[in-house]
Amino acid sequence: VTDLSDAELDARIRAAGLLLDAAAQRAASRAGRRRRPPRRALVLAAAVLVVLAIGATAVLALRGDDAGEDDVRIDTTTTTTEPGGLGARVRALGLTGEIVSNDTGLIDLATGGITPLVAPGDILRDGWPVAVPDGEGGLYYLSHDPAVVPTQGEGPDVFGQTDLRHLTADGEDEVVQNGVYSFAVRADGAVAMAVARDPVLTSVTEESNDVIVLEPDGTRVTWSPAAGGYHVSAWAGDRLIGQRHREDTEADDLIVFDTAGRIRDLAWWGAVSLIAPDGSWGVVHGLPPGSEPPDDGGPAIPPRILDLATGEEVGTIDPGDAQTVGALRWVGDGRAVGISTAPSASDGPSDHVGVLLELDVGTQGGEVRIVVARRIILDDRTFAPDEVDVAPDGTLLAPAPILGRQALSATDPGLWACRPDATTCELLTLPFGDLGDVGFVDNPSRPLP
Amino acid sequence: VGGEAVIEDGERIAAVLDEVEIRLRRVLVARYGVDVGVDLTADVLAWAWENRDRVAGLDRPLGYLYRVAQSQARRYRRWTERAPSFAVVPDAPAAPGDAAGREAQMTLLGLATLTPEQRMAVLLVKAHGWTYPEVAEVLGVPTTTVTNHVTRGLARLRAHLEEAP
Repeated sequence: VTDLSDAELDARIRAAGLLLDAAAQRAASRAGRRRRPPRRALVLAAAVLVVLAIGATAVLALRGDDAGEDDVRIDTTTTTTEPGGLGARVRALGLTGEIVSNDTGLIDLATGGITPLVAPGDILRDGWPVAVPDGEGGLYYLSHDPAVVPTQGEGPDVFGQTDLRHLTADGEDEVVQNGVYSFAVRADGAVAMAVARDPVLTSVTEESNDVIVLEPDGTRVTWSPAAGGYHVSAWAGDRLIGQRHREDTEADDLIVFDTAGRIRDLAWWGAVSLIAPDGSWGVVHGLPPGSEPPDDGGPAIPPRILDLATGEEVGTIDPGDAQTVGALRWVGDGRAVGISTAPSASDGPSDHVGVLLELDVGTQGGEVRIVVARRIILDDRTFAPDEVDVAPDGTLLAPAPILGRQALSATDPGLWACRPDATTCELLTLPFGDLGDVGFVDNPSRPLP
Repeated sequence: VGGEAVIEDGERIAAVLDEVEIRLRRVLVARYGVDVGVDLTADVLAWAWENRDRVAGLDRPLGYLYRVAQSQARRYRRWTERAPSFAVVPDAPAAPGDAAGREAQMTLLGLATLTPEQRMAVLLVKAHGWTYPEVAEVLGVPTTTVTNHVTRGLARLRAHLEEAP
């Protein structure tokens, strides 16, 4: 087959879907494994469940005063934040600082002031910053181009177009570059952008980006040697950290640009989650270049501390009792926070609970040492969170789906909020939105530990 | 009266599970292939029935049950010492002259080369007509992640089919 048209490809996938449906239906009929008790048993089972539910409630009440690890109290009540704009609910948490919200724009949490952005809806991409201060009171941010309308149906689906815009302190708002899908702002104001060759993203658009650095003097320099599946993550001093898609394995590899045109692999299937303030080292997740693909569902790969100039390991992370350490974030005063899990002590629906790790970051004998200072063990009202964010006032925020019933449906987005004094954590529900839709306005290229 | 209410509740939950079954099976077959996907669906529905008080309060049980299935799949892995993988199981080869059947089987072989996330996204969107937000909700990922999976999955599938003899 050569030159398969979009319509032909769609038709072949539909045919394959029908084949799978038919095979699955036959297999299900053969197995006949649906089990349902008869109606009388149902009545008895329901009665037993009611008794058990009453008992469980009593047990939960008794556990209410249990302290978490190291005297961090896990509040066993769940607060439902009030309906309304997402910004209103986040303000209800008492946080300060600035956030970008899908439904409102840029919100100053201290004053409640809102700056509408051109088209902030549905632009927040998993793991990429979407709004970064320009250092002069303004903001660089990603915005959907409202002229490109998403469609789905026959042929290629149109997802939209993302542009990088600059909102200045004077309130001027202009497009910096069309078709930008990730960006990073250097300490001196230089902006690195992954710029798509075809700015409109569709289901059949080839991922072909150039990495372009817009210098403070307005000069544009292309840093990628050729277009490819590039994204930029953050600056580490004058080096640029990014990712490159490897088509043969579908891997997103972590790379470093030493300068324009000079690229090195840092880790395969990799990402960086913590960069030293001077840019000398970073906490890297992923495997050494040349490794075999990671085992699907296998044990988590421990992160490593790498010298970003040489790629060599220059330190250790001691997770203590934790199984491993997930993505790290600076919280200030030489401390970071990361996410981990622990087996659940209860027989609840989730076999693991989330653990927030407060970590000390220091240097000993020329080596970087990251050690666990304290663990905050959450409870099994939610699945274990995948990430933790730090609000400007130091509150640790870890979104996780809430388990349970009635108002606490499993698909309700939940939010663990651990206050800066870290003596209490509470669980909040966000019934009409996900805090994953909120981005705090900070710059990972300019950490301030 | 209480007993009748309980029975009504049970029948309502059974109706919900009936509605979920086809969609859940499509998700799990796309993820794990026919054999494991069908078995997992049955196991998860049995679990849902046994835990119907918990499931009863869910507005959107599909995403929850997909997570339960992932947990069950991890146990499956422990039993079998291998990760369940997408097995292409058309249970009978296409008959000679059945060009359409052979094409569909070739497409399944191509789909097997995608990552599990790409395969789920491509099949659910392109074969079963789900919207991108629907897929995102079930998989528990942002919509942009689903669009990424579809774009990369389609490119890989196209390359596979165009190179096939």
